[in-house]
Amino acid sequence: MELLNAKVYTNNYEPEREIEYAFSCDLMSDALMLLRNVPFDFTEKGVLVTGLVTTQGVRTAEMLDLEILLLVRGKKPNEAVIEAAEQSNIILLSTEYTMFSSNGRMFNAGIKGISEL
Amino acid sequence: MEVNRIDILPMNLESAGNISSLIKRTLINLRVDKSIIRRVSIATYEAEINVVIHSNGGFCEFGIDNNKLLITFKDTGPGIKNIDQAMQEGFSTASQRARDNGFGAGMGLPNIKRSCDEFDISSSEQGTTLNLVFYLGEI
Repeated sequence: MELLNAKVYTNNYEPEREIEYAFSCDLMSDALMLLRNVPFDFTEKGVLVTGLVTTQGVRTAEMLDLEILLLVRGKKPNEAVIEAAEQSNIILLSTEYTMFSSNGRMFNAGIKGISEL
Repeated sequence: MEVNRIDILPMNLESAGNISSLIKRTLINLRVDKSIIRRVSIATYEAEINVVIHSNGGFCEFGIDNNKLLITFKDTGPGIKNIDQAMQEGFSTASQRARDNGFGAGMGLPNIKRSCDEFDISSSEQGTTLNLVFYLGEI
Protein backbone atom coordinates (compact mmCIF):
# COMPACT_ATOMS: atom_id res chain seq x y z
CA MET A 1 0.00 0.00 0.00
CA GLU A 2 2.70 2.48 -1.04
CA LEU A 3 -0.15 4.58 -2.45
CA LEU A 4 -1.29 5.41 1.07
CA ASN A 5 2.04 5.09 2.84
CA ALA A 6 0.30 2.60 5.10
CA LYS A 7 1.72 1.15 8.28
CA VAL A 8 1.25 -2.59 8.80
CA TYR A 9 0.17 -3.84 12.23
CA THR A 10 -0.10 -7.60 11.66
CA ASN A 11 2.44 -10.28 10.73
CA ASN A 12 0.40 -11.64 7.83
CA TYR A 13 1.21 -8.85 5.36
CA GLU A 14 1.62 -9.92 1.74
CA PRO A 15 3.52 -7.16 -0.12
CA GLU A 16 2.71 -8.56 -3.56
CA ARG A 17 -1.01 -8.76 -2.90
CA GLU A 18 -3.12 -6.83 -5.43
CA ILE A 19 -6.13 -4.83 -4.28
CA GLU A 20 -8.88 -4.26 -6.85
CA TYR A 21 -11.88 -3.29 -4.74
CA ALA A 22 -12.73 -1.22 -1.67
CA PHE A 23 -15.67 -0.38 0.54
CA SER A 24 -15.49 2.51 3.02
CA CYS A 25 -17.69 3.16 6.04
CA ASP A 26 -17.67 3.94 9.73
CA LEU A 27 -21.00 2.20 10.20
CA MET A 28 -20.46 -1.56 10.30
CA SER A 29 -24.20 -2.11 9.82
CA ASP A 30 -23.84 -0.56 6.34
CA ALA A 31 -21.04 -2.94 5.38
CA LEU A 32 -23.03 -5.93 6.62
CA MET A 33 -26.06 -4.85 4.62
CA LEU A 34 -24.45 -3.66 1.39
CA LEU A 35 -21.75 -6.28 0.98
CA ARG A 36 -23.91 -9.33 1.68
CA ASN A 37 -24.34 -10.17 -2.00
CA VAL A 38 -21.12 -8.91 -3.61
CA PRO A 39 -19.17 -11.41 -5.76
CA PHE A 40 -16.41 -13.36 -3.99
CA ASP A 41 -13.91 -11.69 -6.30
CA PHE A 42 -14.77 -8.42 -4.53
CA THR A 43 -14.03 -9.78 -1.06
CA GLU A 44 -10.96 -11.78 -2.10
CA LYS A 45 -9.36 -8.71 -3.69
CA GLY A 46 -11.07 -6.09 -1.52
CA VAL A 47 -10.26 -3.85 1.40
CA LEU A 48 -12.55 -2.50 4.11
CA VAL A 49 -11.70 1.13 4.83
CA THR A 50 -12.82 2.62 8.13
CA GLY A 51 -12.09 5.11 10.86
CA LEU A 52 -13.65 2.75 13.41
CA VAL A 53 -10.84 1.26 15.47
CA THR A 54 -12.52 -1.49 17.47
CA THR A 55 -12.54 -5.27 17.36
CA GLN A 56 -15.91 -4.89 15.64
CA GLY A 57 -14.21 -3.54 12.51
CA VAL A 58 -12.10 -6.70 12.44
CA ARG A 59 -15.08 -8.95 13.09
CA THR A 60 -17.11 -7.24 10.36
CA ALA A 61 -14.30 -7.76 7.84
CA GLU A 62 -14.05 -11.40 8.92
CA MET A 63 -17.78 -12.06 8.57
CA LEU A 64 -17.76 -10.54 5.09
CA ASP A 65 -14.69 -12.55 3.97
CA LEU A 66 -12.65 -9.36 3.55
CA GLU A 67 -9.02 -9.99 4.45
CA ILE A 68 -7.68 -6.44 4.54
CA LEU A 69 -8.76 -3.72 6.96
CA LEU A 70 -7.42 -0.20 6.41
CA LEU A 71 -7.72 2.34 9.22
CA VAL A 72 -7.75 5.99 8.12
CA ARG A 73 -6.96 9.34 9.78
CA GLY A 74 -3.89 7.83 11.47
CA LYS A 75 -5.95 5.74 13.88
CA LYS A 76 -3.85 3.38 15.98
CA PRO A 77 -5.32 0.00 16.94
CA ASN A 78 -4.87 -1.27 20.50
CA GLU A 79 -3.49 -4.72 21.33
CA ALA A 80 -6.94 -6.33 21.45
CA VAL A 81 -7.72 -5.12 17.91
CA ILE A 82 -4.36 -6.30 16.57
CA GLU A 83 -4.76 -9.67 18.28
CA ALA A 84 -8.28 -10.10 16.86
CA ALA A 85 -6.92 -9.32 13.39
CA GLU A 86 -4.06 -11.81 13.76
CA GLN A 87 -6.45 -14.52 14.94
CA SER A 88 -8.87 -13.90 12.09
CA ASN A 89 -6.05 -13.65 9.55
CA ILE A 90 -6.98 -10.06 8.68
CA ILE A 91 -4.20 -7.82 7.38
CA LEU A 92 -4.45 -4.65 9.47
CA LEU A 93 -3.14 -1.43 7.94
CA SER A 94 -3.27 2.22 8.94
CA THR A 95 -2.77 5.40 6.94
CA GLU A 96 -2.43 9.04 7.94
CA TYR A 97 -4.67 10.10 5.03
CA THR A 98 -8.30 10.97 5.77
CA MET A 99 -11.14 8.78 4.57
CA PHE A 100 -11.77 11.16 1.66
CA SER A 101 -8.15 11.33 0.54
CA SER A 102 -7.60 7.60 0.98
CA ASN A 103 -10.62 6.83 -1.15
CA GLY A 104 -9.64 9.41 -3.77
CA ARG A 105 -6.14 8.01 -4.11
CA MET A 106 -7.43 4.47 -4.43
CA PHE A 107 -10.12 5.44 -6.94
CA ASN A 108 -7.56 7.31 -9.05
CA ALA A 109 -5.40 4.18 -9.01
CA GLY A 110 -8.26 2.18 -10.53
CA ILE A 111 -9.63 0.50 -7.39
CA LYS A 112 -13.37 -0.02 -7.76
CA GLY A 113 -16.25 0.24 -5.28
CA ILE A 114 -19.57 -1.62 -5.34
CA SER A 115 -21.06 1.19 -7.44
CA GLU A 116 -18.59 0.32 -10.22
CA LEU A 117 -19.37 -3.40 -10.31
CA MET B 1 -27.86 -33.49 17.48
CA GLU B 2 -24.88 -32.08 19.35
CA VAL B 3 -25.80 -28.64 20.66
CA ASN B 4 -23.22 -26.01 21.53
CA ARG B 5 -24.23 -23.37 24.05
CA ILE B 6 -22.29 -20.16 24.62
CA ASP B 7 -23.19 -17.30 26.95
CA ILE B 8 -23.34 -13.72 25.71
CA LEU B 9 -22.49 -10.88 28.10
CA PRO B 10 -24.36 -7.55 27.92
CA MET B 11 -22.47 -4.57 26.44
CA ASN B 12 -19.27 -6.59 26.10
CA LEU B 13 -18.34 -5.19 22.72
CA GLU B 14 -14.78 -6.48 22.89
CA SER B 15 -15.85 -10.11 22.64
CA ALA B 16 -18.96 -9.58 20.49
CA GLY B 17 -18.53 -11.62 17.34
CA ASN B 18 -16.67 -14.52 18.94
CA ILE B 19 -19.66 -16.87 18.55
CA SER B 20 -20.20 -15.87 14.93
CA SER B 21 -16.51 -16.44 14.31
CA LEU B 22 -16.73 -19.93 15.88
CA ILE B 23 -19.78 -20.86 13.80
CA LYS B 24 -18.07 -19.59 10.65
CA ARG B 25 -14.95 -21.69 11.33
CA THR B 26 -17.14 -24.74 12.04
CA LEU B 27 -18.86 -24.37 8.66
CA ILE B 28 -15.55 -23.84 6.83
CA ASN B 29 -14.28 -27.11 8.35
CA LEU B 30 -17.43 -28.85 7.15
CA ARG B 31 -16.77 -27.47 3.64
CA VAL B 32 -20.15 -25.76 3.44
CA ASP B 33 -20.67 -23.62 0.31
CA LYS B 34 -19.07 -20.21 0.88
CA SER B 35 -22.13 -18.22 -0.18
CA ILE B 36 -24.11 -20.02 2.54
CA ILE B 37 -21.31 -19.38 5.05
CA ARG B 38 -21.44 -15.67 4.28
CA ARG B 39 -25.21 -15.55 4.88
CA VAL B 40 -24.82 -17.44 8.17
CA SER B 41 -21.94 -15.20 9.25
CA ILE B 42 -23.85 -11.97 8.60
CA ALA B 43 -27.02 -13.18 10.34
CA THR B 44 -25.28 -14.63 13.40
CA TYR B 45 -23.06 -11.59 13.79
CA GLU B 46 -26.01 -9.17 13.61
CA ALA B 47 -27.93 -11.34 16.09
CA GLU B 48 -24.99 -11.59 18.46
CA ILE B 49 -24.51 -7.83 18.35
CA ASN B 50 -28.22 -7.38 19.09
CA VAL B 51 -27.98 -9.46 22.27
CA VAL B 52 -24.84 -7.57 23.32
CA ILE B 53 -26.13 -4.04 22.74
CA HIS B 54 -29.83 -4.40 23.54
CA SER B 55 -30.25 -7.08 26.21
CA ASN B 56 -29.35 -7.96 29.78
CA GLY B 57 -27.34 -10.87 28.40
CA GLY B 58 -28.25 -14.29 27.13
CA PHE B 59 -26.89 -17.20 25.17
CA CYS B 60 -26.57 -18.75 21.75
CA GLU B 61 -27.19 -22.41 20.98
CA PHE B 62 -26.36 -24.00 17.66
CA GLY B 63 -26.26 -27.43 16.13
CA ILE B 64 -26.56 -29.21 12.81
CA ASP B 65 -29.35 -31.68 12.10
CA ASN B 66 -30.14 -33.24 8.72
CA ASN B 67 -28.00 -30.72 6.85
CA LYS B 68 -29.76 -27.85 8.58
CA LEU B 69 -27.98 -25.41 10.86
CA LEU B 70 -30.26 -24.51 13.76
CA ILE B 71 -29.34 -21.43 15.79
CA THR B 72 -31.14 -19.90 18.76
CA PHE B 73 -30.33 -16.59 20.40
CA LYS B 74 -32.11 -16.12 23.70
CA ASP B 75 -31.78 -13.24 26.13
CA THR B 76 -33.25 -12.31 29.51
CA GLY B 77 -34.89 -9.04 28.57
CA PRO B 78 -35.94 -6.29 28.50
CA GLY B 79 -37.62 -7.46 25.27
CA ILE B 80 -38.65 -5.72 22.07
CA LYS B 81 -41.70 -3.50 22.60
CA ASN B 82 -42.89 -3.60 19.01
CA ILE B 83 -41.46 -6.33 16.77
CA ASP B 84 -43.11 -5.00 13.60
CA GLN B 85 -41.40 -1.65 14.18
CA ALA B 86 -38.06 -3.36 14.93
CA MET B 87 -38.31 -5.23 11.64
CA GLN B 88 -38.51 -1.95 9.70
CA GLU B 89 -35.28 -0.83 8.07
CA GLY B 90 -33.84 2.23 9.79
CA PHE B 91 -35.70 1.86 13.09
CA SER B 92 -33.27 1.70 15.99
CA THR B 93 -33.24 2.06 19.76
CA ALA B 94 -29.47 1.52 20.05
CA SER B 95 -27.49 3.42 22.67
CA GLN B 96 -24.80 5.97 21.87
CA ARG B 97 -22.13 3.43 22.90
CA ALA B 98 -23.48 0.92 20.39
CA ARG B 99 -23.52 3.64 17.71
CA ASP B 100 -19.97 4.63 18.59
CA ASN B 101 -19.02 1.03 17.81
CA GLY B 102 -20.51 1.16 14.34
CA PHE B 103 -23.95 -0.28 15.04
CA GLY B 104 -27.46 0.97 15.52
CA ALA B 105 -28.40 1.73 11.93
CA GLY B 106 -31.65 -0.15 12.35
CA MET B 107 -30.71 -2.77 9.78
CA GLY B 108 -29.96 -5.69 12.09
CA LEU B 109 -33.22 -7.66 12.18
CA PRO B 110 -34.13 -6.99 8.52
CA ASN B 111 -30.65 -8.12 7.48
CA ILE B 112 -30.92 -11.28 9.59
CA LYS B 113 -34.30 -12.15 8.08
CA ARG B 114 -32.97 -11.69 4.54
CA SER B 115 -29.92 -13.83 5.22
CA CYS B 116 -31.54 -16.94 6.71
CA ASP B 117 -33.84 -19.64 5.33
CA GLU B 118 -36.23 -19.73 8.29
CA PHE B 119 -36.76 -16.90 10.77
CA ASP B 120 -38.82 -16.81 13.95
CA ILE B 121 -38.79 -14.19 16.67
CA SER B 122 -40.79 -13.82 19.86
CA SER B 123 -40.37 -11.30 22.62
CA SER B 124 -41.73 -10.30 26.01
CA GLU B 125 -40.35 -8.31 28.93
CA GLN B 126 -38.75 -11.55 30.12
CA GLY B 127 -36.66 -11.78 26.97
CA THR B 128 -36.37 -12.26 23.24
CA THR B 129 -35.90 -15.56 21.42
CA LEU B 130 -34.66 -15.67 17.86
CA ASN B 131 -34.67 -18.98 16.00
CA LEU B 132 -32.80 -19.19 12.71
CA VAL B 133 -32.48 -22.08 10.28
CA PHE B 134 -30.04 -22.35 7.36
CA TYR B 135 -30.15 -25.09 4.76
CA LEU B 136 -26.55 -26.21 4.27
CA GLY B 137 -27.00 -28.39 1.20
CA GLU B 138 -24.86 -31.53 0.90
CA ILE B 139 -22.06 -31.61 3.50
